[in-house]
Amino acid sequence: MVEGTREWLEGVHNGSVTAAERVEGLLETIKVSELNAYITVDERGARAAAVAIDKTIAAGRDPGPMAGLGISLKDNIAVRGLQMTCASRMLADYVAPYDATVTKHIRDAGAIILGKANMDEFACGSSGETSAFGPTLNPRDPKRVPGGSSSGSCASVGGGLADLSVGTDTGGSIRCPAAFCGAVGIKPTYGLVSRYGMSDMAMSLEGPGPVASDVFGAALLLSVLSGADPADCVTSEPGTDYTTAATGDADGLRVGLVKEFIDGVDAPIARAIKKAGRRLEKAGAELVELTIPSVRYAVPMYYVVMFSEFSSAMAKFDGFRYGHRGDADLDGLEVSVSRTRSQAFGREVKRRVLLGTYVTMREHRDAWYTRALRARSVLRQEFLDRLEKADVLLGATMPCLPWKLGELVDDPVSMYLMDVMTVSANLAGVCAGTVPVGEHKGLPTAVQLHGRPFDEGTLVRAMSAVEGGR
Amino acid sequence: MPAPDIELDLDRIGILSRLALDDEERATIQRDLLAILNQFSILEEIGEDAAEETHEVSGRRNALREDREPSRFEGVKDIQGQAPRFAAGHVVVPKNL
Repeated sequence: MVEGTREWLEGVHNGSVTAAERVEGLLETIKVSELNAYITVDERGARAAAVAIDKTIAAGRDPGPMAGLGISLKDNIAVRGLQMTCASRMLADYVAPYDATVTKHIRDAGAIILGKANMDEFACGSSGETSAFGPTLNPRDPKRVPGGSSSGSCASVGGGLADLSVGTDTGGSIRCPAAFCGAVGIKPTYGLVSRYGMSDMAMSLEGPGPVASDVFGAALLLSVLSGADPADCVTSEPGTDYTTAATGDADGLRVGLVKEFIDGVDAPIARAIKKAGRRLEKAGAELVELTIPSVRYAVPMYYVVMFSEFSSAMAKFDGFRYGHRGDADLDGLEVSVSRTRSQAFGREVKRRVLLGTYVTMREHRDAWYTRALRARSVLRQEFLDRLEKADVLLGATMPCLPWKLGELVDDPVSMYLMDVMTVSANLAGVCAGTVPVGEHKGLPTAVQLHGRPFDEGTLVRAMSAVEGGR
Repeated sequence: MPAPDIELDLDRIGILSRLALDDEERATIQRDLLAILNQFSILEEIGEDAAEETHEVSGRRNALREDREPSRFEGVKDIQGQAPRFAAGHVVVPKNL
């Protein structure tokens, strides 16, 4: 029986399963799925790519490190010739004219692109419910949210509709849905993976990252995605092979138990953290207790920074330069732009654009935006200090289990507060990953680990030790 | 800590954001925005000189533009304003160096 990413890869390489058979199986599962995990499925492209992989293997040539694995990409990443909607009416008809850098890497590695995954509109959401194409459902319980904003990426992996997926993470958008869907997800260090060809939401916080069913798969995809790219000025580090770190061994690792990432979480999550700590100790790690006081301000500082950058990023969608154009308006250009944007943006997007405008207006800037940027420095320094005392930090990914669909959709404050465990990694620019630990009443429980900037190898090692105890 | 006195001029914010809100939407958004800003006012506990600003962890800084309300479209006058100007029988070409 084939179980994990490694086994599927070996199966394709040794001929026990062809890429074409693997892809047909995934396409069939996608066809009957009701999770709404995909916005676009590229059946023809996937079949053609699978045939090419099988021919390469038959000819005795190297098909690439991800040969034959089926992959979905979040619909804010460009895949040449496929729609790239960002789950918004604004871009419903937009077809990407080029491949993002991560897309090129995936093709070169032999993975087969199955389609574009559903998401929260322009990555605005923690529940997967704000897509203009309808909510994604949780593969473990379709009455519950899958988490967001990379909802389709994580539901496609958790629901068996893809082997791997590429999501994007601005404040937890990979880690939250991965935790809720029982998947493994990594938010790489800012600057490790190129953002070229990704629709921007908040440029100082975000980047693409891997989602997989196991730590080996996430490490493999991260190895393929990472590396310096002349098209993205914040990338500088070379890529490396992170799969060699997925050993299950944690000998000599110091793991910080962070009070702020443990206190106040629901009981099943607290039990998962304890269990993960025991697994790490059993694998040779030493646990130390730590505190990061400014995490208390992380949610407001994150949202103020994100609102500001988001409202700026959205300015280009006016129906003339980019995006859906509304009805012709005889009242003039500016009225037409405002009306177009109001028609095409969903409620959460409008809320964030308005708040971003408010906190950066001349009379409010110092009280909100500048203050958040100063607080960000304090938080980053505290993280870097703690990561001198420990190799990785352990705590919750989400403070609770996935909630019911619709439960928080009209309560933005409560929804934003759900991000309390994940936003700090983006503000501080460190790497972080989530890994499943078990389940409670059929729903997955997960923990989060933070690592030093550009030390994804140690992060993968610790995640693998947590996973190894399953 | 008491909630700060936050005033929202939703008309001006809407104009600067290039968003036209209908009456029903305005009421909901006004309520949501105030709730969010009140919740986030905890940031006031952070001193104004707590640290240098971090715009981006790589050290790059964001440039902020002035608040600019959209100019009104004045029809024929605006269109005529785009026409080339003539001087001494020649078209005046804008200097671009």
